[in-house]
This record gives sequence, structure tokens and C-alpha cells, in this order.
Amino acid sequence: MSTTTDHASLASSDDEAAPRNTVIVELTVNGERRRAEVPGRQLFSDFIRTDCGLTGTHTGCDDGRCGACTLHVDGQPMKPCMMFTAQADGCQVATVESLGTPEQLSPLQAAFKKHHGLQCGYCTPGMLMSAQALLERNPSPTEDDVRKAITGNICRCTGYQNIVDSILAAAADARGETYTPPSGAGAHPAESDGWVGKGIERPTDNRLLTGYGHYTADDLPVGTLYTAVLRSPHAHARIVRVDTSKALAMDGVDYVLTGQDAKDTWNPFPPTINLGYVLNESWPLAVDKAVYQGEPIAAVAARDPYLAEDALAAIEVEYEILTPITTIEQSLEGSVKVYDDWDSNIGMDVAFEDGDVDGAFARAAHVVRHSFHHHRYTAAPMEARVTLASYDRGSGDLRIDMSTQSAHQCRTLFSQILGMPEARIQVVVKDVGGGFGIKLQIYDDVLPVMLSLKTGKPVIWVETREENFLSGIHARDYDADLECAFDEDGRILALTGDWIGDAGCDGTNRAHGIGQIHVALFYGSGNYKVPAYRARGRGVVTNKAPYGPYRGYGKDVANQSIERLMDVAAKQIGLEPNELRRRNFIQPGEFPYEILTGPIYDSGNYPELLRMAEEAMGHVNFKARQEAALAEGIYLGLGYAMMLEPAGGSVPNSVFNANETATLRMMPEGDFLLLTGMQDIGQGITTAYAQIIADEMNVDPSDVKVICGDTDKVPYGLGAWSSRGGAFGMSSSAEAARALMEKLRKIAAHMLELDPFDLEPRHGGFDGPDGKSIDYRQIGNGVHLWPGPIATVPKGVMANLEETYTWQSKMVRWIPTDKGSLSIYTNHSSGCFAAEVEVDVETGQTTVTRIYAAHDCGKVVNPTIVDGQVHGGIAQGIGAILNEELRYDEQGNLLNTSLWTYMVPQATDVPRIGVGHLESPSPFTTLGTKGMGEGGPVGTPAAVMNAVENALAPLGVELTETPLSPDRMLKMIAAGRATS
Amino acid sequence: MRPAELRYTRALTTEDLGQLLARGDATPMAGGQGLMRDLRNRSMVVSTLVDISRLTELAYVKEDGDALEIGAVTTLAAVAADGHVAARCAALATAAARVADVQIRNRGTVGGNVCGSWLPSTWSNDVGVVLAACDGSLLVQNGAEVRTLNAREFLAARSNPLAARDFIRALRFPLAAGSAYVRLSRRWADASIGSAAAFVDRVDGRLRVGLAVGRISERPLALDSVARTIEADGIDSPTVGEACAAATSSVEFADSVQADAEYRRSVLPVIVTRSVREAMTAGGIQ
Ligand SMILES: Cc1cc2nc3c(=O)[nH]c(=O)nc-3n(C[C@H](O)[C@H](O)[C@@H](O)COP(=O)(O)OP(=O)(O)OC[C@H]3O[C@@H](n4cnc5c(N)ncnc54)[C@H](O)[C@@H]3O)c2cc1C
Ligand code: FES
Ligand code: FES
Repeated sequence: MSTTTDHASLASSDDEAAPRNTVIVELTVNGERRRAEVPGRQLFSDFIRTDCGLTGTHTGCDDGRCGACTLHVDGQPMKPCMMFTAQADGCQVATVESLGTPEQLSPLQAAFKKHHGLQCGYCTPGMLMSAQALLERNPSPTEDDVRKAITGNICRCTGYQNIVDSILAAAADARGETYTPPSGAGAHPAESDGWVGKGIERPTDNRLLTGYGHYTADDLPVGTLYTAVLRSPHAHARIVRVDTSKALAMDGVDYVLTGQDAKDTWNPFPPTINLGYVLNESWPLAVDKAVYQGEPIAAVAARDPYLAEDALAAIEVEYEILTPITTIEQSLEGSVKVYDDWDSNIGMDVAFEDGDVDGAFARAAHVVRHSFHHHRYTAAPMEARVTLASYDRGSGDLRIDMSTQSAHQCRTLFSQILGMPEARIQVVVKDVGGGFGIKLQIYDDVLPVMLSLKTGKPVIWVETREENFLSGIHARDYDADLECAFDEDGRILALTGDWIGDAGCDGTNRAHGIGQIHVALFYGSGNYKVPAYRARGRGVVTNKAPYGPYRGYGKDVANQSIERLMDVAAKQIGLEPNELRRRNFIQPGEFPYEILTGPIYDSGNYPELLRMAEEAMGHVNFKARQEAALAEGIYLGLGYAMMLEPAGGSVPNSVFNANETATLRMMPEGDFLLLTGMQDIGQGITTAYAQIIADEMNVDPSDVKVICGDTDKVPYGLGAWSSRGGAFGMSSSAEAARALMEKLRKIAAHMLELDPFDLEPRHGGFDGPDGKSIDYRQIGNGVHLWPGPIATVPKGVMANLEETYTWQSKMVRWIPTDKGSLSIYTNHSSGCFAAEVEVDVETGQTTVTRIYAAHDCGKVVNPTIVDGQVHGGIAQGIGAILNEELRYDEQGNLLNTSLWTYMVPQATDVPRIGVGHLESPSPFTTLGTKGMGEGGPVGTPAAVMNAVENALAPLGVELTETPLSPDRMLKMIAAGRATS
Repeated sequence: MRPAELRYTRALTTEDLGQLLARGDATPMAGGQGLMRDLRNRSMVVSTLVDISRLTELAYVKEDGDALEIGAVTTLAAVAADGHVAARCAALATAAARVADVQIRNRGTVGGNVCGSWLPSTWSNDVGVVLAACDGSLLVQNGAEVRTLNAREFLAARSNPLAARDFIRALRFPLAAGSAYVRLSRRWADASIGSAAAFVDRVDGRLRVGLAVGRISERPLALDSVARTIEADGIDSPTVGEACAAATSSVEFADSVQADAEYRRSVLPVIVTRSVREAMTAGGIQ
């Protein structure tokens, strides 16, 4: 410590003088001495980000759980969100910016890049600071040391494995040793000659690792106002009176927006999906009544975030509390309604039937029933929602920077809500700290936009973690009732499914969640041949937060249902579960395979995936291990679940269309710019798309810059959801490249005075006969500069160097058959997930000790990125089934509003993950690629449940409730013991 | 969520602290890792915070007679890393190491931790469970006067028993041959859903047990009658479970999102047994 004066201490001040509201601090940040007078209440994280401008320090929560903010104070990692600036007075502070630079990564940063230890990069600075501190105090950590050292840092993207490997590799490197990560068993994609198929490093990582990322809250225009939102404390309440006058009179408060004000000025939320659903009319702030706890009542714009929150306390609201609906049963019963103008609380009721279902059940040798309730949960990306709106009074233009997965879709929705010409609105998406489905549509995001329009000033809303739980998208929460008829040999004769989803207050406008139950109905048969099928899907409204997509969107519902049913059925029929699966698989030779409900499965090899998983898990030896463990009182279990991942959704009557556009532009100097409507949200598409363009155009990926997320730059596109990148984004990019290649070939031929057919593409140009050759640069210069287009471009070719291609899915069929079958997905990735667990029957605690995924997403463009997606998805799946549960009490109060109580996995909760690949190229996409990324949360929960049930087989436990929390487990174990 | 307006000041000596507290409106803040959560969500509003984390005179670990004395502002990280603590009082070393995560332990102090029960939004108190198990005490100063408080009484209080001018100087942990801390949680760095601290000794050939559990109810709870049963019947006796039930018959088991009350009731004998067994092994006691 270097300071000698102690400004804040009594020792240096007059005994009589009362302490003041501000404090003078002197500290050293990244080697630079700073002196400042700051408010006593200022959080140190605000000082670092705002006063010092060191925006590499991120914040992901309000109560010290996420660790995104971690920095070093006097050499020790600490969380500045849990400190006052005054507490750092006199200290030496180091942030991520002190480690390395984008040009010169530190060894630890380089290891993160090499081992793909980051995806969205939001947790990364904090993770690096924790890891750096660990390596400084322990140069030879074990894997367990590493995992424990980073338990204070949550990563929602990576599943931790690559982070752990990065840290172990950096440690080994510093000791002069080499670290080889233990790799997953099974096949890996064949090493590729071209760029496609190579696990190249992501160039974007250099800035994300060094604090040079640009997340929406990082760059604020001068004079930006801060939003604070007053939310309904009640789940269901009439709003009698809102008085904002006191808040408005407070110093620093510019505007207070209420529901009535917004209704008087703008439009209600437009619908985002309607396949015969019941729609509601709602505004961004509650007008007459609040329909969920957390619904916005008023929004303040103030000079700083502290004042904005102070103002909330001065807003007076009078409520008349109404009876809340908090369960599916209450909603169906219907005596209380969420929407007064609806006939009931049922927002969706759809059915499907094909084949002789009743006949099949009548002649079945075995009829198996399984019912369960699945809990509610959410994505919790480490960066919550952030929106910065800047309305330019002079031009009438509105720029909205936001953390979203779908810039164009948001732009159109903004235009519809605001009644503003769409061309006046520009949506800009910079770095996104994770999305996973919950950053698709807009509802609270429109509040800062409205405040900016009202004040004429830039306004930012940085969602708190509490707000994200209260009002961000919720998913799952459904009842499933399944019945399956089997013949003597265990072959499925017929299947029925009935699903009811708790759509909270809204599954159509604020977000489109209700459709996930519809998707479940389409895919109830999973990876199996089902000759007769009857299904019903309902979505009901309740007084809970809006219902939307989260990594799975109904595929998880279908998968969980059929894969649990398989294990339950196997027990009843007396077969091994995997044998039952094998007897019912759609066979490799049968693709493309149309299921009864209409989807066409493009390709796959399900028996091989299962074989790979069994091999990786040591299936043949497991029983012996299990029995030996049981003799010692240890309950081990092994469980499998097939995974089917319909990807590239394209839904009629919704904002989810079946096309995507890419523009590939060559620069005069011969390098390339790809403009895509897809969105990088950390999953790495800018790297993968550059690989595709590099192969198509015969250049290096570093010659390709990929731009996404600026509606003024890129063609209209729908963004990143439904894992549509693999189909739509990649195909449109590759097709645009092929079209541009043909154009360049024609121009090159013209310039060389040859026939286009005489040209051979080569790296960075074309070769012709007789030693004739031309570089892209010569073509580019020729067309745009000298000698100019008249001399270089042949007739019939437009004198520009770009091509735009709109790729449409051929697999989509939106006209239903008379039975109601539709085809709304393009690809079907598949997998087999296997988990080994240990259950402590005395404490009800489940530990996942090993997990493996045999995965098939067609042609793999970047295996490192694909593996990272699988890891992250598996971690989310483990969290989902063991710990993550959004729980409401009977009054409709959400009980988990922070990362303390919404328990996303830490590094110590996720075991080593093995991944094996199979490549069954899709015949329906340009490169044979398929969408992927959702498989983890789709396949993992059922695999873990099957493993737990397998472990507890001696106790006769059948799992019918989730998550498998220790308290629930002890009850189910006791019940099993009592009946068996 | 950010704190309401407040004043910040700092004490560098215990005299400073005494004077600042004498003003009557000041709240001591050690690491701030307990307070900050409530200050940020404004479930707690304070007028003046006195930062006591730099009272170097209260940051120490020393063995004094047959007890380990830890200065109140010693960080949890320092306690967890202290070789002497690990060797002499494994339960304390484990408890300190299991609070939160590395970053929080680097600021959080043992003194702040044992006051955790009275903060509005948390009742975490891992160190307090150990202090209750060994029947320890607190050295509390008011002005120039230092007094000793019985830790079990202190920890069981409904509201913070410290007077406005009181501050904790140190915690005293009487030592035993073996000790252990067993803690259940949903995740590794997570609130406990039931923990047990055990201290065991052989005195004149007879087993002596000190026992307390945490997060079973809202305060650390010493289980003397269970300890006596174990001393009399041995750890493997079925009477241990019965004693647990009897000792807690009037206890209101805590219900939280992490685990319901029934769960806590069920695991109580499990963690008690596990902690005592582990302490016996650690102390070389059969
Ligand atoms: C993410 C996170 C996880 C956590 N997990 C746990 C956990 O697993 N287990 C657990 O037990 N706790 C946990 N906590 C709570 C807290 O961090 C710890 O209890 C501990 O760090 C508190 O110590 P402190 O020095 O920071 O206390 P402070 O916040 O400074 O003070 C806490 C209280 O003690 C009083 N106080 C502090 N020192 C003195 C003194 N010398 N004399 C009189 N009064 C004093 C303060 O006035 C205040 O009322 C967690 C906190 C966070 C943020
Ligand atoms: S922002 Fe600091 S821990 Fe979450
Ligand atoms: S990379 Fe860790 S949260 Fe996204």
C-alpha cells in the first residue's frame, strides 16, 4: 500500500466534524494513480466502469454471486460490486485490462483462446482474474483446485470444462510442461483439408479476453440517463392510482413514465405468433391491472442510477389485490381470469391424430403410462437485458443499441409498438453476453426507448438480476401425460401424449412461449417409429412471468417425455432400456423419414449414436461396478437418453420465417465482407462463417470480416434462434459466396480475355492457361478504380463486387394436411446422451460423475465451437434437472429472484464431459450442415433422470417430479421404500 | 440495485472506533460482504458506516491457553489458509473455507460472519456453528471496557445482542483433540442447507463431545443432549437419532428455496453422525 494520507479515517479529520456523504479516495488502478471525490455509497464496480472507463469489469448480478466483476485489490481477487469505492482507498487495484492486450495476450489469456475457454466472453474478465490469482498462489493446481478456485465465477456458456483446461494448460506451460486435456471417447470428425472442419481459434477472443469487448452498457453517449423500473409487488392486482409527482420533482429525475402515459402515446404489444391461439392486449407498463409480480408500473429516467432508484421510493401506487392464479389447475378451473376479456384462461388448445390409436391399444401386449410435472426455469445469461436508446430530435432518427439475438425482428416490433417508420429506427447489436432464447423479442426493452422519445436524451436500461428473474422469459413448467402401446416384442404400436404448459401471463405477444407446447406435440415420437399417434397440447395463462423460448423450445418437452417413457416402459416390459430403444429406432437407411405429424427427418444414425455412448460409458462393465458399489452402500446409476434437435424453425403466422439473407462483398483490395442477418451471441458464428467463406472463395478466414447485428448495414435477417445458423446462416452465406465466385470468374475471364470455363480458382485469384493469372486484388481494383468497370466488367454482369442470396428452407410445409400435419423445421440433429450418477440416499444429493454425448449435427464446420456448444448445453441441462427451479408461492410471489436462490451450476457441479461426433450430412442444406446448440438442455435432463432412477432401482423409486432437489429426492426415496 | 445515501468513515484504531460508535448512528462494517447485499437491495438503510477492516490490531490468530483466539477482523481467507488453525481446529478451518467463495472470503471476516444471523436477507453463519459447538466465547469491547460473552447465548439471540457502542474484538474457540465441520449445500459455493460441527476429546478415558448444527433453524443450535447421548451410548447407537429428534422437538425447522423444513429434519441425524465420526477420526479417537 502506497498512500500515507487516510482521507476517510477519523485520525485525519476533526473529531467534531461529522463524516460527509462523499469521500476522497486515492488509489492505484492498473499502475495509474487516481484521486477522486466520490459519493460514500458509490459501488466500486461503478467507479471502475464509469469513472475509470475500465469496462472490461462486467457486472452480472446485484449481490456478489456471479463473479463477472472480479478484480484484484492488493493482489487478491475480490468482487467490487460488493465494495464501496471508499473501501479501496489507498489500494493497488488491477483489472483485466492489466493482464495483456489484444495484440499481446498474456499466457493465461492465450490459453483461454487456444482451449476455447470463452464463448460470449461476459464472465471471462472475472474468470481470468480469479484464475490469475490462483496461479499466483498455486503454480501447480489440480483440476479440483481449479474448479474450487472459480466457484465464485459463474459461466453460463462453456460448461466450464474448457475454462478448467485453459487454466491447467497455462499452469503447465508456466512450469515448462505440456498439458493435454483428457479428451472425450468416440469418433471425431475427420481432419479436414479446407477451413471447414477445422477447430480454428476465434479471432474475436482477443478483444473479449482483454476487456476490449463492447457490450451494450460499455459505451454510453454523454448525458445518458439511467432507467429504474417500479414493478408490481403483486401477481394480480388492479391499479387504482399511480402518483409520480414526488418522484418527478426530485433533483436529477427527468421523466417518469406510467402505463396510462404509454397507452396514450403508443400501441400495445403486437403478436409474435398465432397458430390459432388466443391473444391478449397488453402494454409495456401495466395500465389497469398488473398480471404478474414484476410487471412494470412506472419507469424513471434520471441522471444517475442511484438517483433513479431513489426516485422509485417516491412513486405512490395504490393496488387492489386480486386472487392470483399460480397453478395449471387453477387456470383450467377458470373462476378467476387473467384477462377479463377472455372466455377462459386457455390460450392454446391444439390436437393431432393419425393412425388407428384405439385399435393399437386394444391389441397391445403392453400398455405403459407415465405422467410427470416438469418445473419452470430460465436461461439466466450472465449479461441480463440491456438497451440503450438514443432519439435524435434533429433528424427524428432513433438508434437502439441492445443485447439481442435478433436485431431486425426487434426493429420491426419497435416500429409496430411505437408507430414509427421502420427506416427511422436503427438497431445495433454489439457484443452479447449470452442469450439462449430469452433475448429474442422485446417487452421491457421498450421502456428506455419510450423514455428517450419522451426526453430527447439517450437513455439506458441495464436490467438487474432480480428484474431478469421476475420479468425475463420463463420456460418449461408443464404437465405431461403419456401412454404407449407396445407389441409382444416391445415395438411401439401407438403413442398418446397430452401436454399442458403454464404460459404465465403471456406466451404470444411479449414472447412466443406458448408455441413450445405445440412443438412438443409435433415431436412427441422422438427418434422412434410410431405408427399411430394422438396428441393434445394446451397452454394456459397464469399470473406468472411471460413464457418464452429457452434453449429447447418444446423439443426438450418432447424429448423428456419420450425418453423417460422409454425407461419406464423397459422396466415394465422387462427389457433393457437401450434394447427397447434399438427395437424402435428409425433406421439409418430410412432417411429422409417423414413422421406422422409432418416433419421430415433429414439424416442420422441413431443405433450408432447409442453404440458410441455405450462404448464411452463402459456399458458392459457397469453392472458389475454398480453391484460392487451397492454392496458398500453406494448408489451408482447409468442412464441414457436419445436426443432429437429439430433446428431451423420456420413457423407460419409468426415472426419466425423460413429464409435468411447474406451479402458477400469483395473489397477493391481483394478481401471480403460478409453481411449476415444472423447474430453472434457468443456462439462464434463470425468465426465459423469466415471459415465457410474462406473455403468457398479460396482465401484465409482472416481475409473475411463478418458483420452482423446492425440493421443499417446488414440485410433483413431473423437472427440467432432455433439453432437456425447451421441451416439458414451457413447456407445463405455459402450460396452468396458461390454466386460471387461466378461473378468474379466472369470478370476475371473478361480481364484476361479468356473463357470463364478456362479459369481455375486458386488461393486469392484465378489461373488460366498459358501462365495467365489474376488476383482478387487486381479484379477489385479493376472494377472499382482503374481502368474502371467499363473496361473490366463483361456485358450482363453488374459492375459491383457483391452478391446477395436469400436461402429458403425447402423442407418447410405450411399448408396443413387434413389431419393437421405440418413441417416447420429444416434439420434434425441428433444425439445420445449418457450420464453416470451417484446418489447419497441419506442426504438426497445427486452427483453427476460422468457425462458423454454422442452427437450428430451433420457436417461440422468448427469442431471446437461445436464441442463448446455441447459442453455449455450439458451444464445447463445438469443445472436444470438438479437445481434450477423458479418457484412461486401461493400468492404468486417468485421465490428465486437472485443467483443465490436460482442455482445455476458452478464449476464444481459439472463433471468432465466427453463428446463424440458422427457426421450425417443434411441433404437439405448447401453444405450438409445442420443447426445445433440446443441438444445439451434437450438430452441431458432425461439422461440424468434415467441414471438416477437406475441408481435407485433397488429402492423402487419412479421419478415423477423435477427438479431432483435433495428435499424432493428424500421424499421420493421414502415413498419408494414404503411401496417396494 | 444500489445503496441509499450513506456516509462512510473509517477507523484505524480501536480508540477511533470507540469514538465513532459513541456518536450513536454508526454501524461497523468489516468486510462488508454480509452487509452489502442488504444495503444494495435497501432492505437495510444505515446512516454511517464505519469501516473497521483496517484495524490491524484485530487481525490475528493466536493460541492462548487451551483456546484459539481469532481477532474479529481476520479474514475468512486468512483463517482458512492458516496452518495453525488447520492443525489445531479443523472444524474452524473447514467452516471458514466453506463460506461463499474465494473473493468473498478475501474480504469477509470471522467477526462479520458470526453476526450474519441478524442481517435481513441472510442467516448464514458458518463460523458461528463451530463457535457454538466448542462452547466458545466472544470478547466484546465497549469504550475502554472489554467483556466476555458466551457464544451460544450470543448466537441464539433473536436480534443482534450487541449494544450500539459494542464491537467484537475476538472470538475464542476452546480446543479439543479432534473436530470436524460437515456442511450440505446445493452447490459447492452456496448457502448451507444444514451443517454440523463436532468437537471430540477423551477425558479420563471417557468420550467428550461438543456439538452444534447450522441452518437447520434460523440460528446456530447447540445440541448438548445429543452430545451426552453420544458420550453415553457411542456414535453408532440408534439412540443418537432419537436424541436428535427429542432435542429438536420444539425447534422450528427452517424452510427455504434450497431445502424444505422436512428435509432439514431428516438430515439432522445424518450430519450429526457424520461430523462426530469425522472428528473422532481426526482426533485419533476410537
Ligand atoms: C456471495 C456470497 C456468499 C455468501 N455465502 C456465505 C456462506 O456460505 N456462509 C456464510 O456464513 N456467510 C456467507 N455470506 C455472508 C458473508 O459474506 C459472511 O458471513 C462474512 O463475509 C461476513 O463478514 P464481513 O466481515 O464481510 O461482515 P460485514 O458485512 O462487514 O458485517 C456483517 C455484520 O456484522 C457486523 N459486524 C462485523 N464486524 C463486527 C465487529 N467486529 N463487531 C461488531 N459487529 C460487527 C456488521 O455491523 C454487520 O451487521 C455470503 C456472502 C456473499 C456475498
Ligand atoms: S457483479 Fe459482482 S458478483 Fe455479480
Ligand atoms: S462465456 Fe462465460 S458466461 Fe458466456
